[in-house]
Amino acid sequence: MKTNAELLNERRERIRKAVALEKPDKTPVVPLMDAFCAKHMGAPMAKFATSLTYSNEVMVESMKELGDLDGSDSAFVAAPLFPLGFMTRIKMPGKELPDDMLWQLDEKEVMTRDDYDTILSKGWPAFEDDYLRNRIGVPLDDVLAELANIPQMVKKMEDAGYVVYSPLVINLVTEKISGGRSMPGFMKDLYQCPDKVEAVIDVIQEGTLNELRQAIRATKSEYVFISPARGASEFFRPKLWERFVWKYLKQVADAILEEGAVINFHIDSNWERDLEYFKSFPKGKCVFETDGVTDIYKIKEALGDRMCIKGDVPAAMLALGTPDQVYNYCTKLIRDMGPGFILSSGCALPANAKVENVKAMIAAARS
Amino acid sequence: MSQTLINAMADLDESVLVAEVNALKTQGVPALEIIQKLQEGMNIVGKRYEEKEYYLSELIMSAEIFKEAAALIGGDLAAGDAPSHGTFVMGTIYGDIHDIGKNIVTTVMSCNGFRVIDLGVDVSTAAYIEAIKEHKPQVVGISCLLTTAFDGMKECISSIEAAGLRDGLKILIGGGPCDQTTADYVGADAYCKTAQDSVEYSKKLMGVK
Repeated sequence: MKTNAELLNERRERIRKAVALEKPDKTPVVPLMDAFCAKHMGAPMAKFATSLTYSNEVMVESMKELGDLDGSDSAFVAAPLFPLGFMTRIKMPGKELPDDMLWQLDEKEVMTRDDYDTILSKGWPAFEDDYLRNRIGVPLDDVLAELANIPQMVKKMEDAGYVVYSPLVINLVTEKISGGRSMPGFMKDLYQCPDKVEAVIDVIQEGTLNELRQAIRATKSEYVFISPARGASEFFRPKLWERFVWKYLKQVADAILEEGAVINFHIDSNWERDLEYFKSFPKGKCVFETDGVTDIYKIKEALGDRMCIKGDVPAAMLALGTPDQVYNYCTKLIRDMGPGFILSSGCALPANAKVENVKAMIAAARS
Repeated sequence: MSQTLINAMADLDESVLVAEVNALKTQGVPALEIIQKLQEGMNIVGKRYEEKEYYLSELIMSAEIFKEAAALIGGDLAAGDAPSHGTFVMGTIYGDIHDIGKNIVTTVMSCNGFRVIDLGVDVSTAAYIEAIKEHKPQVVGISCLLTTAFDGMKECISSIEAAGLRDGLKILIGGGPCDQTTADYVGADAYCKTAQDSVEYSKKLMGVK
């Protein structure tokens, strides 16, 4: 019987090999775990969604019950941090929503066009602090205090033998502006005041690049999670996408690589048009994580020789399907994707995924 | 009648469009005729979206410009009086407040000549039933981004059926986690992976070429 420390090392090495496009002993299984764990363990969603520490405890218990998976994308629930990443309000269970419901971003146009002038004149940090605290009601001091406990949360998961795959998350500037302005508001701005939007993004980006370098050095993170979901190719004309999405995503990615970390691109929505752009990154240094909307087989065809692929067991199958369906889907995926592959849920494991289906997913990677 | 107006709408040229609408108003052109030309421009927008020349960014701008033109002409007169292939009622099911996917579908359907009734997000079964009774749509669209909303979709569709409103009505579902299994589970007529799927389904249903 292996100790948890031995299991942790074995699982780390398995993930490392998959990312480096080497052949691991088994396919790693690293789902994006959060709300599922609360339902799985019968934990109150209202408490789970609002306490990073409590969510960490519940997630570890859930993983232990699931057994031989390799790790989780993060060590705690991301919900309290969403307003920081998307500059938008969030409705939480037990507050704006019934106790047992999932948290949801409340996408409204809170940031105005006039705010662009404020950002340009006063700078991003001052604007951001005021906006988060006073405009969208983020209990910033509480959130920051809990974030200070991340090392203990990571340790708790590691002590149980599980890898925290990407403890460091970098929020992207396009997500912030698009979230704050709302998707329609942001897109109108790209037509009606593109130069001002670009100037604002440049200001924010400069700070983002500095902060991410400091964060990687401080945390010694080997993997960095970035999620450019609102910048999907399917949303923008190529010229707009190149100017307002790719340019900034590439700068962040290059900085992460320069710091020696691996990038996990958490890619939601359809990016099939622009997969070729990702060929510009060095081999074995990136992971393309898909929710399934970008066809995983097209990713394999375009990028399979350059980067590891992570995904994409469909949420509907996990919630409504049978263990046999899940097992067969995963077995086929593991066979077709080859060595540079990490088995995962398409985006987050759904809260109402059947436990037997999640276990079938793990079993497929262990057979 | 102004080809310039049609082109301005199709090319999303806001300044030309506003000038043209004002000029036509001054000339005494009836509002309905102006709206019809705007709708022709929107049809071109829809076509360009279908052909992947336009994307969501352009759909949003087209909706914005159309709204601006409608306001110049006389507000609500615009959308209601435009000729359409049929009526499409759409909302995000209760328990779910995500609206990006829903907005894409309603805009694409609008661009393709359908009269769209947008019920918003977190829509109750009662609101769907009321809208079906009032607007008599040929097609209803139900969207969600959460798998936990599947049971709400199922209940809603069952209730529509129990209310005797399902005859002659087609119900489409869509949204990030949905697939054909979901459509079977909730009792929908079809699953739409993309917004364009809803256009094609509806056009085929209504015999539009």
